[in-house]
Amino acid sequence: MSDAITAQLDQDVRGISPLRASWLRFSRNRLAVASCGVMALICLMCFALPLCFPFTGNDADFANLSAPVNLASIHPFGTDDLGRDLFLRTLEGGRMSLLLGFFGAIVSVVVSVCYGAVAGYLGGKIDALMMRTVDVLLSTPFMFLVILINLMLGRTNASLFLAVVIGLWLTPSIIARSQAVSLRNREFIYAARAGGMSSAQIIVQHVIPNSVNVVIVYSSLLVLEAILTESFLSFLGLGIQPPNASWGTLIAEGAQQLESDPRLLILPGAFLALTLLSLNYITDGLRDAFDPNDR
Amino acid sequence: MQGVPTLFALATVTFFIMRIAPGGPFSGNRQLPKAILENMKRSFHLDEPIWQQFARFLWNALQFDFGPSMMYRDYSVARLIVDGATVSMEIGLAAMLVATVVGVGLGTAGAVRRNTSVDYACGFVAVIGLAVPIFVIGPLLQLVVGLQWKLLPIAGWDGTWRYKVLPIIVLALPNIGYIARLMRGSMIEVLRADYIRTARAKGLGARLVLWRHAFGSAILPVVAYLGPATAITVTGSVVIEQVFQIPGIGRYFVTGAINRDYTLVMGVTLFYGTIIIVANALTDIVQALLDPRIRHE
Repeated sequence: MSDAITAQLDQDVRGISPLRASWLRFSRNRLAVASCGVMALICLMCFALPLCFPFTGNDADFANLSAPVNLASIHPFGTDDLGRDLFLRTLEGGRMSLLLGFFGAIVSVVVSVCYGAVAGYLGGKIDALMMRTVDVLLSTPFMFLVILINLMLGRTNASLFLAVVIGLWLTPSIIARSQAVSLRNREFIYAARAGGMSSAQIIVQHVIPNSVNVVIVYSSLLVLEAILTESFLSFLGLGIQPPNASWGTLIAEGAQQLESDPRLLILPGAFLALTLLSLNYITDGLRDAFDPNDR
Repeated sequence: MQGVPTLFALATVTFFIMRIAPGGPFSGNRQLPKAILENMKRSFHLDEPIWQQFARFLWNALQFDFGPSMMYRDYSVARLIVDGATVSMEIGLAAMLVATVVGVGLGTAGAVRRNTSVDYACGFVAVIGLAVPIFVIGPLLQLVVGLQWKLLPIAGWDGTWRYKVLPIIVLALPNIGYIARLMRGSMIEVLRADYIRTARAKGLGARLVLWRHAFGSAILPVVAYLGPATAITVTGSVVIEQVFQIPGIGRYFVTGAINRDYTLVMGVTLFYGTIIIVANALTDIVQALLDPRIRHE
């Protein structure tokens, strides 16, 4: 691995940036690169393929109830007992799961970096209060928080999104805060303060941009956890509500009709498992690439 | 003893949030005549001022009396907790035992035969356990073992071992993955240490060095993980209980909260809190016993 970097160094006298070194390490990790390919393929299938079907996943085809797997037909993986196309339903459920996963992760990163930056930069009593709140939330059972949100906001997709973010933003906020603490006494921050910038300006223009890179490696794990949390809650009936579907609700339906039609479970289950596996390998690859001392 | 203020805070927050949340235990499916509603509220002391209700709850909780459940007629909350917790603990403890033995075994094997096919195979099992959620593995095992091979019942509960095997395996899998990873990492670290080189240099056999010298310190991160993980596992997994139709404690928590069964939720919350605090305390003690560096601090 380091051979590649030294080879690159010999070629290029100007040297390579840390980011480029990390990228080189990542691209040599075959498992992680292959996982990126699988992930791209799954995203492409979930977002592009449904457009090619002349019907939607909720349309019933009464001429083909419980159609068998026939890759050449219009229903490649068959239909359920209501005549809905299984493959299309899985793809559309995946679209919902992936969207929620990515947006849940992005919102969690933004919230955690802002929160951590404010707490870490201001320090003192505000910092203690803010981080104690995080500790309390971390030690409260997650299911309990989810149920509270459900009680307050009702069982809507918005409360699901809120539950996902609340479950995810805590750990990265601790990471972001420790980064902000280490930034607080750096010269460029002193310079900014001497130049007359207010705390709010310093946090927005200096602390937050310099904290993002620490959390960004962690964010691929957040996507994984967001997708997992979403499908877990949807499986329990606390998440996506019908007529919308996600992998979680599809798996829950499939688990109930196990005896009559196992395809209902296997199709969304396989997609979810493959997605989580790929994200897992990508996360490992990113961590090794950006933090080689870890191993 | 440090746990007492934490428990008090948990109870207070839960109590008031449950009351603030819209709806009540009797605002459910059917409309009751006003007089009956008043009577029902009075029988659960819901007509008193909220501070008085909270004081009554605290006083009774100190005597392990959480009152009758508001939804499950004729059951006291204490009774429901004891019944549910017995089942959840049995499954949870067995799953953690399996996970520890298998996870430590896989992790050690991977570390000793590092970067061989054995290591990759162990790593693959660990990743599967970590990445594939239990609500996918559970129904899949039901399908294969229960429906296709007809070896074990798919779901249900009568207290015999046949109904326990599948839930225990499924509950153990993610923990196997996590423990195997932890164990592999820390074992590789320990095997590089100077005192292991000394032991080898003395001419001790590989097996003796591994189990006598390396194992004790390599297991420490696993012990630290086991405490909180066991607490979470024995307090009942809602998913496992739903998939396998097991009468554990996890489902009481969810249905109780959804039905605004105030007494049941308060009882289960305090039970959860106690288990987690006890598990953390036990972890500290075991770590101190295993690791002289902690003891001498």
